[in-house]
Amino acid sequence: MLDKAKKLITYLKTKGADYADIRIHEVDEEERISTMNGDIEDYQLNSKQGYGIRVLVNGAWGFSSSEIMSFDAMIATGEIAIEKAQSASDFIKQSINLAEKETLIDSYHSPCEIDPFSVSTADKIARLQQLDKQLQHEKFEYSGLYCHFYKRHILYVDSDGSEIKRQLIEIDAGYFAYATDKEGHKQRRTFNMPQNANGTTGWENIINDQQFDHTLRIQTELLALLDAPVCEKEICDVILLPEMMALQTHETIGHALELDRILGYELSYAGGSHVELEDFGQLQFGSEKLTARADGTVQNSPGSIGFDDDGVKARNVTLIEKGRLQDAITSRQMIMEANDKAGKVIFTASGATSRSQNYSNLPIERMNNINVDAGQDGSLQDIIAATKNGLLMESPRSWSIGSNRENFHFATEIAWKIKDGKITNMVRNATYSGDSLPFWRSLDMVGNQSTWELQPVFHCGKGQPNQIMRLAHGVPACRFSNVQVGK
Amino acid sequence: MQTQDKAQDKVIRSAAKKSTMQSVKMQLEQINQFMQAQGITGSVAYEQETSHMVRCGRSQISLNVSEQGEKYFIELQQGKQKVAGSTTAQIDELDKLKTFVLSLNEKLVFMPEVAHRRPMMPIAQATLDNHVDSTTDKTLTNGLDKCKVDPALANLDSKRLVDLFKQCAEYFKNENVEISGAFSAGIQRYAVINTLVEKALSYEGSDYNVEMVLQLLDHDKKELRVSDVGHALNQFDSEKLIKHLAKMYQIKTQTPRQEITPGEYDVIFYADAFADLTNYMGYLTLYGESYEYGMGMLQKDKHKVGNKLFSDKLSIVDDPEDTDILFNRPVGRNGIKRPHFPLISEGVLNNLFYSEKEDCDRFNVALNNDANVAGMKVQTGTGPATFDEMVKSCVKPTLFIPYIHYMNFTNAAKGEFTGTSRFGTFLIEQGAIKAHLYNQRINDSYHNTFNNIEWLSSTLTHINTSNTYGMRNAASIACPLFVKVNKVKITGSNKQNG
Ligand SMILES: [Zn+2]
Repeated sequence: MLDKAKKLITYLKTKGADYADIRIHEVDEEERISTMNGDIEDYQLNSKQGYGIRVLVNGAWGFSSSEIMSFDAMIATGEIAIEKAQSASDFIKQSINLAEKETLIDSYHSPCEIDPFSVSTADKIARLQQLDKQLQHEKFEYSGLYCHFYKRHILYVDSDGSEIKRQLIEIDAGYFAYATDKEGHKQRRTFNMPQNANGTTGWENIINDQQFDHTLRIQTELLALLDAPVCEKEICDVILLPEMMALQTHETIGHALELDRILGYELSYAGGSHVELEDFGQLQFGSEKLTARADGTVQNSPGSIGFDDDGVKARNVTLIEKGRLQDAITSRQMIMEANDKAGKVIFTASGATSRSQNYSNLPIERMNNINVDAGQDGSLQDIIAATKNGLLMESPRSWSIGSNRENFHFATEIAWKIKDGKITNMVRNATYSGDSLPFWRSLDMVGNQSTWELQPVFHCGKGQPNQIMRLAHGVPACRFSNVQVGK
Repeated sequence: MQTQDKAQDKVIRSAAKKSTMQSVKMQLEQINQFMQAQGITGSVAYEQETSHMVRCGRSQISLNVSEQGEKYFIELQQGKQKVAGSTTAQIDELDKLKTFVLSLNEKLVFMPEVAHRRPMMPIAQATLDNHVDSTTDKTLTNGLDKCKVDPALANLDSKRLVDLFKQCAEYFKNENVEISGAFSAGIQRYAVINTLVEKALSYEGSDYNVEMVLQLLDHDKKELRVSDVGHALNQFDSEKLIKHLAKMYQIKTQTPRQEITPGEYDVIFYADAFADLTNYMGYLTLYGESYEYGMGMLQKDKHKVGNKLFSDKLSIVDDPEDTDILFNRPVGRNGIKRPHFPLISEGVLNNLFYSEKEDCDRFNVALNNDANVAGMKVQTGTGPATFDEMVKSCVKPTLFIPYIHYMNFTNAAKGEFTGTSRFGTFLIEQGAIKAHLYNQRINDSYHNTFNNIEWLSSTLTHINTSNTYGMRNAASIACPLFVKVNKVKITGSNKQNG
């Protein structure tokens, strides 16, 4: 396959491509198992194969993909990409330039102890049924879990001379339980299995005994939620636990700092960003307690893939340092364009975050691991003890964000009222809302490493055609002051 | 663009010469026979897409792509055991598919029995084999196969897509604006069969959808948008779209920007916004599965089919024979024949979609449709027919909301939702547009919204509702051009960082 790919790239260069790359998914498999109330609700084995070819001609991109693996089909697909680029170049104001990068002949493997595809179906089902059983309760209408196993072998070759092989394994797994509250409305508790940032990604995570702690916790919390009072409308401090912090970071730091979005390439669909190019190095995005990064070098995460789809090696980029905006989520193309537009060098190198969902998609700026550094304000207990009137919130239930990521409204599955440094009671149907910059500037306590967790996200959508991306957020528990809740 | 046509031809021919709908059906029937011969009970579905998309950003083409995808979905059931899978394959790879079937069949024995699982049902069968390749809709009344493909969309030169944005740029060349948008066109095909029947059924349709956004650089980067959807290229009218943008541009640049206080307002939703509201309300109301699970906004003990839920001005229907509906498929991807299907008649709930066998088995209810390929029509009323008439009709202060950004349920059980207005929110009073507003956040419930309808426009339009997740699946809502709703709860705006 490598020979075919290299021959194709040479051919495309002779046909007028100034730059060309091909991504071949030689293996792309997915095994999905889910349970509900003790039954194996769904078992699916999905497999696909294909490739995408991207070329730069006359300063414009052209892209085409196919699932016919013959060399002839590759040539024909490449020719379509060239013609697409030619017609796109008919309407461009600024030729696409790609930032410098290292030419690499390299490979990446997800860290994995037990390849989930090597475990027998019978063993997988038995383990899932065991966990399902543990989660069940007579008061729950529905409970269960899902495990999606992904395996991809991707070959990347470009006309700069890079050849990169990636073997990726990911597991998306979690629990859910639903029951009816005292008002006759459904309440739920869910739990996405977090990832150990320094660990491995295989089946070993599912057979880990910690899973029983989680099923028991979900069970206890949902039972208590059914009789809990409704969250009242007020302005108070909120403490966000890692699942909620991940959403907050995702929606109001991650998406807001995608450089293509800042430049206006997502306007017609996902929206723009309140961040301007002039803000880099200047804007006080959050309080001094906020340091955030786009870290593709986390050892174990669905956001760590070794090299992006521009063939750039993963980096750890500081986005916000002590509250000040420094960098963005970037690709080779966008940093050149942004620097050109700003008339100065804002971005010095690609952040290696140009990624595509599939061989059939053109890569665009995507989050990798958008993390918030742990702080110096102690454990979760310390933060609670320091809070006079607050709400401790966990697990996203709904989210809606302004089109420039300037404001947000989030609902949570569960929350606990804090009075005078102590948790007094649980509340249900909690919501909070705010304006992004004032909210991040109100960050006044950041939990230490004991509160920091890597939260995977398997369903981030962006772009047209829409691409669903896998990524993560390593985040600590954080406190924000004077937040509107319950409205 | 001769070379493009040639290259495109080459791939399309190399894939498609083998895969006419007729040959796909033959292939499915062969796999089906193979499964029958092996004593395997199951179904095979085929999906294929050809998609072209051009995307524009910063007044230049940012993406010009074409995608070809073919996938086979196989489900096997033995008694109360089931297994499913999908694979990419080409039409001549019958052996690959057979091997895949056998590998899934090996997994089947490991699948625990599910007590409530019912036997597979035969898919619908046509009385005549009447597949017609045609530019127009020639489905025979007793036929179930359908082909509604516009060859102009099937063999589209992407230059045609690029030209729209060029034309728009030319129109606004003296204004300080940036143009962005997306124009997507293509073909979707599917075919289904199962081992309880002999004949496959198929659907083949073309569609396009386009959206264009203008960002006003001299005016706080305010945004305006137009969109369109259709099944044939001759429905597409670039001048009409640009004209509408120009009109909105004029309003936005000639009226002052104003902030309003949060509270209850009468709101006129443009079709885009109302289709979005309808679509989301539909998720919580019209899906039988979520009704059974109690995940929607109807509670089984309080709400039943036959109950009045909404304003008597509201009627919604899904009907594969209604020519007002753009992408009407006679048969679902689940093989169910789709009937005339009234959903809401004068506010009364008539029917719920039951499309997913696994869920229907759990609750022991019959499948009656396939919501995945449904096309809803919100019946028009007697309200204003045009934009100008709509403006004139407003005496008291009224908000005009063309589009809702990022709608989500804040409390599904109560039908509560939130979202913000976008792309030109106006304040209308005394028959004139008085001001344009910041983007406003709505926090309300579908119960309120669909009960407080004052009028629906007498003009019907089409709004694209296909998401671009997964394979191409054209979808739209036929909807009145404007709908006026009273007492909508506005809770704030984006003035703070707007
Ligand atoms: Zn996202």
